[in-house]
Amino acid sequence: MEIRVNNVVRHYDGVDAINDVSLTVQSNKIIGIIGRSGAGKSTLVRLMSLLERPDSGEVWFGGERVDNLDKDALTSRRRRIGMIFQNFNLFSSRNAGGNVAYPLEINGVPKEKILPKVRSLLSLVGLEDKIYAPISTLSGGQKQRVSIARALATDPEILFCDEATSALDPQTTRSILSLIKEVQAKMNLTVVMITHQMEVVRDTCDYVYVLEAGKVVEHNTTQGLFSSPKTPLVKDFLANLAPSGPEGGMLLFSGDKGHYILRFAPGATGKPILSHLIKKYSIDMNILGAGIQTIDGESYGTMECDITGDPDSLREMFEDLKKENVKVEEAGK
Amino acid sequence: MIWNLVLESTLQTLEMVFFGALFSLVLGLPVGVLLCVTSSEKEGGISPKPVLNEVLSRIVNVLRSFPFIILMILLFPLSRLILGTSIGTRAAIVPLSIAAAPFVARVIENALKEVDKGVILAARAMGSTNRQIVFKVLLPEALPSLVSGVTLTIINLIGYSAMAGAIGGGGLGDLAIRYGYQRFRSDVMLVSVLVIIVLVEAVQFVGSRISSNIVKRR
Repeated sequence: MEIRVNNVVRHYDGVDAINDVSLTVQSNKIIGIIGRSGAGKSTLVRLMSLLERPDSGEVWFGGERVDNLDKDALTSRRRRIGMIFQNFNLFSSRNAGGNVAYPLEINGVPKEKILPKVRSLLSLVGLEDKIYAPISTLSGGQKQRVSIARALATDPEILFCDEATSALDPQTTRSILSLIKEVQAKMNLTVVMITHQMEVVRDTCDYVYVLEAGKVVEHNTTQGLFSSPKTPLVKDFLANLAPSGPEGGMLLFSGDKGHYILRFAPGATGKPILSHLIKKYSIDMNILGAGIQTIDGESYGTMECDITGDPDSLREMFEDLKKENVKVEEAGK
Repeated sequence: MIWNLVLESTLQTLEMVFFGALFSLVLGLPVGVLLCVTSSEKEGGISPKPVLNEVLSRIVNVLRSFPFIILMILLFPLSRLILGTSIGTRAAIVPLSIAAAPFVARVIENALKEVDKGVILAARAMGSTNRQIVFKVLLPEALPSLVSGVTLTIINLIGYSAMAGAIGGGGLGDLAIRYGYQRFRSDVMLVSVLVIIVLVEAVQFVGSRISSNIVKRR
């Protein structure tokens, strides 16, 4: 279902306001709304998910205007929206299955149909064995899975994710994101992801809106945003992006791994050590991958490379490297 | 003979406390729920009604500030209207219930306000009606605190019921005054006080047990 937001304004006592935001979410796409804390993301998602009314402007779901619905229409419209939250917001008075059953119960689904539906939803998120588990016994990732199952219980057309992975560690975040992608494809969902993590946008979103001080400052396809960022905010987001993939920040120039791994201690990363040594010892070097990680303001370098030359030169070169605070490891050792 | 007296008085105290707790809960629960539901959005109210909230809150405060002994006398006519008499154990139940009801209302209001706002938001986002939020979310989520609140109410009622002797309500407090104090029977005084202490301890023990068992199962 397409979502359109037209010139929406929402003011509180000055904080976290939304100031004339317009955006379009295409049907069956995952879009991201990214911004720093206080940019108005949470307010915007509450306006879009009908938890709050805008002061002015319109919200449309497909051909239906939804920002001005009366109380009953609002309640029944909300029942066709799924929403998940940073803190999961599960009911501690119900077990995992009970949480998933809640939206079905309030929708008046007959009792005998609830249990099979709950089972199938929990198996969709990979937790079929946790149906009777109390919420407090679940891990963060499992809690978010239960809340996804709960959000999807009423077969919604739209899923809002409000900082859904912000309380999770990187591995769990990846698994939750791929689950969201999976259910999006399976159920033809339109997904709106609110986040402050560019990694989330990179790994899931088709299109992204960048929010700053209650306004959209930049919007583009995810590829477009990454290849030609325009605003300083986006450039800053991209500069601080955590690396993707298992290489942990290595820029790999080739699929092959080098024979040697050089580890540069802080202080060694700023000097042209290699170029100096190559000239000194007449050896050949093929750099296959390299990266720098900054920890506490200090740079640690890692490089994968092949080094060839006569054994004596190599040994002397490794001695010199050691003096320069570069650790040499042979790959696989 | 003294043990018969103690037994009889204990049963009277239990009768007053049991029915006092029951009726004060019946009266106080809806008021407590209303106080929470109608409070401002910031305080977790799901349907803010500032005027109603203010009025209810004032009534509760006024009732709570009455000394119990005065309230009992003021409520003579009401007891007579309901039970046909203003004297006796049964008659004492009326002022006991009314004295404890505002306390119950506050206890319940506070327990409900403790419920995580995020959970209420989620319930609302799923399209819950206010009634569904109250009965399927607020009350179940607050159950451990509600049980603690009821425990506190019962203990308070044990204290109040000791004053009911003043209107011929009987009970352990009455026994302690009439025999222990007025007839210099310090043994009766001691036994009545001990029984009251045992009652309070027992109620507290059971209440805490139930409350922590609910928490443990979550």
